[in-house]
Amino acid sequence: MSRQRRYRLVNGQPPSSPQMRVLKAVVFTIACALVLVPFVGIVATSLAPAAQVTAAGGLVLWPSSIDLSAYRAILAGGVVTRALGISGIVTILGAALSLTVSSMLAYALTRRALPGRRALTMLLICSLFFSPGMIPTYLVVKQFGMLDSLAALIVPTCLSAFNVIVLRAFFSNLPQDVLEAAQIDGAGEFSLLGRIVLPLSKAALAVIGLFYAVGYWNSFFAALLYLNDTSLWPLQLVLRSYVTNGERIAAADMDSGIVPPQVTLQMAILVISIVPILCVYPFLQRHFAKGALTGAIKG
Amino acid sequence: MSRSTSLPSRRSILMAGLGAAAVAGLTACSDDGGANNGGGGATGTDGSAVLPTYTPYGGVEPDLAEQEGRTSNAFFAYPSDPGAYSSATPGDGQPITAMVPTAFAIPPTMGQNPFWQELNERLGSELSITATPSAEYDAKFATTVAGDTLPDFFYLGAMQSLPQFMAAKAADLTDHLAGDAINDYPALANLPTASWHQCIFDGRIRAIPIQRGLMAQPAVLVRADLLAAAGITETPESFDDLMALSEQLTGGNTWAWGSFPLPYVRSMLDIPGYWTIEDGEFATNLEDERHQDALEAVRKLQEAGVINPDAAVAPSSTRKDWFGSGTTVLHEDSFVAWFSLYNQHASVEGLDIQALPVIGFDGGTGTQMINKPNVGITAISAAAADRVETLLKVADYHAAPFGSEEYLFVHYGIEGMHYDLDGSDPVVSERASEINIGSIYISDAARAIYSARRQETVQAAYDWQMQVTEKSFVDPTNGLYSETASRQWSALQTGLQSTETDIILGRRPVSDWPAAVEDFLSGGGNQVIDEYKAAHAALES
Amino acid sequence: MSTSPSARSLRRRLPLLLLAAPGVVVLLAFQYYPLLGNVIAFKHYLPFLGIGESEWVGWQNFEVIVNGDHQFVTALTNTLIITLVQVLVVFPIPIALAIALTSLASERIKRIVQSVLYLPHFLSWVIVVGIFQQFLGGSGMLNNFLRSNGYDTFQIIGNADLFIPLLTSQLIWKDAGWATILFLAVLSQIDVQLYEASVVDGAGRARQLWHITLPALKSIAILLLILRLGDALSVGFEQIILQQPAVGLEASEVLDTYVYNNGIVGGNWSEAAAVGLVKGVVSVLLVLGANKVAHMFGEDGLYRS
Repeated sequence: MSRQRRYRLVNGQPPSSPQMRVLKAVVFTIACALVLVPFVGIVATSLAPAAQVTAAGGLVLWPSSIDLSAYRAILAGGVVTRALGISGIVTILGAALSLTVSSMLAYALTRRALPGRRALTMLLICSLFFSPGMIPTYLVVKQFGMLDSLAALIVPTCLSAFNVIVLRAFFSNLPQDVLEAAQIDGAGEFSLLGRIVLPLSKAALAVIGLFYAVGYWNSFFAALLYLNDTSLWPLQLVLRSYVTNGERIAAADMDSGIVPPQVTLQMAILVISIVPILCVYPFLQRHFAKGALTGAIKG
Repeated sequence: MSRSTSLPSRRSILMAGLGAAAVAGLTACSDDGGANNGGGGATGTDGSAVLPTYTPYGGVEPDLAEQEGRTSNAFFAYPSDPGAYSSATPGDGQPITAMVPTAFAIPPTMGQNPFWQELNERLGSELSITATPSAEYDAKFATTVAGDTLPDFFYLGAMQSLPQFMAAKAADLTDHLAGDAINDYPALANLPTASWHQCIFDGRIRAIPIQRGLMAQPAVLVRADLLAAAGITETPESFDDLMALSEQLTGGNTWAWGSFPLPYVRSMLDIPGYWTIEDGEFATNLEDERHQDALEAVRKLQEAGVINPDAAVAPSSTRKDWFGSGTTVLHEDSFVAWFSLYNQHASVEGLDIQALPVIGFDGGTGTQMINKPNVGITAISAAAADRVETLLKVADYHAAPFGSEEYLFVHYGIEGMHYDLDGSDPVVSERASEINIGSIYISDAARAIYSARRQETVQAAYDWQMQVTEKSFVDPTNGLYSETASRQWSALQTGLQSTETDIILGRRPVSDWPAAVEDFLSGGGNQVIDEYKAAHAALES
Repeated sequence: MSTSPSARSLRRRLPLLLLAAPGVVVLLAFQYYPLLGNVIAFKHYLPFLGIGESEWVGWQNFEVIVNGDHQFVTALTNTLIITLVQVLVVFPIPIALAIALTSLASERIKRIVQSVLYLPHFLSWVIVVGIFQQFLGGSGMLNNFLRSNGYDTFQIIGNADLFIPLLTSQLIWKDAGWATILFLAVLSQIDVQLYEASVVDGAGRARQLWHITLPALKSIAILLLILRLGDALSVGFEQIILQQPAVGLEASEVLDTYVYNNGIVGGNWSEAAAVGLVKGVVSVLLVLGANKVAHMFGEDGLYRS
């Protein structure tokens, strides 16, 4: 180290100029405000008393007092709690399975020795743009005997071509000399994948894992079509039944009980469905720390 | 405090009126695309020969009695000491399956649901119901049909070639329900004749109606408390009056209307809906020049700024919110919303909802639209044909008439758990949502006007029905089937409606309307009309 | 006794085949096998008859695409314009955001900002459109505020001229933050030593950005761009259909809404399948073309044979 630096490097980069720093602060503050203001509105409305929400005719930005009746209405009867558990199981199992299958396929596709590599790649790409349609997929799921089982929520969608393509791109960008060296040392494909490629791709795996997890977490349509047993319904489908778009087909019950305003319920539902995902962020962001790659190669 | 509850019946007559706008809102719920499962079965064979005999339930005396085509039975209080309408146990001990749409939150499953368990007990059969959120029901229904896994009872979702579908998949109920045979099922016999037209396919009864009767009429609801606060006492008597009223109600962040009141204005001009019956023949009124008058009138309202600027984008739930907050004062909805809006906006002090009469465009009265009487129909699977009698008894149980003990159970649940009695009126408790298992879409009672502890509203609603039906037009497509409509209706309707919106918002001149109608007719509309015409003639013959 | 070359090569290949197998099986079973059902594009499919029993109708279901009416042309034009705007305006934003985020000195602030910007991704379009209306609509908070204070109001929602900017800002609001994730992952994999070495060589931030950061992002960015081009014919169906009445079809009709408004979804399974097939073919052609172009510029693109 010959030259003396007068500043501290951040991730190997010199600090920004003061003007740049001000610009960044302004941009991020505005961006965060643009996001947060509506979200404060969402949380506030979910907590606001009925009278305030009705008087506002929509979102309120701050609750005049805290009223948990929307949450009570949704959580009563234990239906939502059970659905939360089911969604958790489906999300975890699904993401794990998806990540395993996808990284295996993605890795294989980076290897020249894979027979039919080009054809398989095309197969993958084409599947992005041709969709089989709801009814044929249903018939296949039925044919495989998966109706009314949680497998129907996981197996048919466990491979996303997009995610495999992105993973493959990450894998191909790894320093090939490391792989070659290991291969010369006699490592087989399985151990190349398990000992070198995966450990070096933590950030990519975290991202793709998150994509899959969010996909499973948000999906409701598969459950709607494949599960007749409502006790297996995941959270998003159960929550969906709380927000009826527009009229009740009932158009019948003049005497329904007094429920919190529709907006309040809707916002409480958003909060309930987003919070669990938020709790996962910190675990994933760890893998985004700089230098993971450097450390792995050196270690 | 001069609360506005003083003379509700008088006021309701004062402000009578109609809003056919809700037609769109109503059909949008379950039978999206109008004709898909809305159209019933007359396709050339005379269906009236098999119509069930109507025998109204005599077990209770309504406070205000129904008059056919004019008004429903109305009750100020739930009949005290309601008796059971039947003593037999309907079930046969074997499990029964059903699939229905639901507009309610998913209730606890059978194992955790005392209401469901009690229902099974009373039915004498275990009833498994798959309830699907109504917006997605068509998808669920289509895949279930494609997978050939229809349960014993199924509510009809959208389906092309409906008569063929019904012939293939729905049990023939004719022998059990036609004419006096229905007397074995007295609750089903209490469903008015008009409801059964839609259940007849090629001359055979293949479904049970989910009846709503006159509850499905469109209405223009008014915040009478806000009118009173603004010192408005006059009822508009013509479009000019309505315009003046609208301007008076608009100001600052408040508007008269939350939607484009085109259906209401069409009713004012005596052209509700698109259809008409001319000399006994089915026809369309779309080429009538009054349609342009209606568009011009609504365009003027829009231009005057009396319609909420977000009317074109706001979903109906938002419009209901506007009405509650007083952002808008006139609200197009269905008749039954009169009551549900009271519940929804219970926190509004002094809330007083009334409905406008259908006024004539240049004075006098306009023509109220009477929509199809059913919200949908439910069939019994052909595969369960050997259990038809048991299944019909179960359906009969769910249709138990208003005023019976069974009705109270099916609609309110178990006393002390899901409701408490205030006098004879059931007051729902926090657990009331447990009963929304979807059983009321297997079959349902004929509707009566009743809302616990809202005697004045019941009276006003009854009077309003009586008033607007003085001059009304019944949707003539009830019980008619058009294959073209089942395939193309939503596209045809979208074409017309986007032109309507363009004209109202000033993007296109009113003079573009005839061309849009021409497109509608040549693009399939003429075929629809011909098919309805033939079906109508067959029904009338 | 030595193993033959083919046996040796099999020993090298078998593990790869085993690794690929589960994914390929899922792909074949749940993508390609049901894809056979698209034969209904040439039939008049009725669910209760089944695929086999439904009647053959040849190319009739494809007519809707080629009937060339004015509406269709409008829809196609609007679709392409919106795609272009999204590629030019929306696509670069997450890249810039990701670079800016990575350069934040404080790890804590970085994580907080990240988490905040991800949030809107979890809202459905119905909610996003609703929120925009509540804030910016004619009776929204902004205009109500202006009106009650005697100012002129802005017509943002329901203004045909502003429709594409509105769509674009909604899209940026909802997804720009979320889309940074992939780029952040790439950036996190850059060897810090590269930067440090360049500093020793006297490089400033600008040169580091140009010579290290951007090249690292290039291949993933090109890959995503090619995939986006493959979807050129699909632009925000749900987002647009919700807002269509306010601005009219002329300004807002895109291919997906055209298909929807012409009743091709919801019951018309056969026509929906026909449209899907045509769109699929176009997409694959676009992707292959874009990939070729990438190769010409010496990039790997989506794949390299």
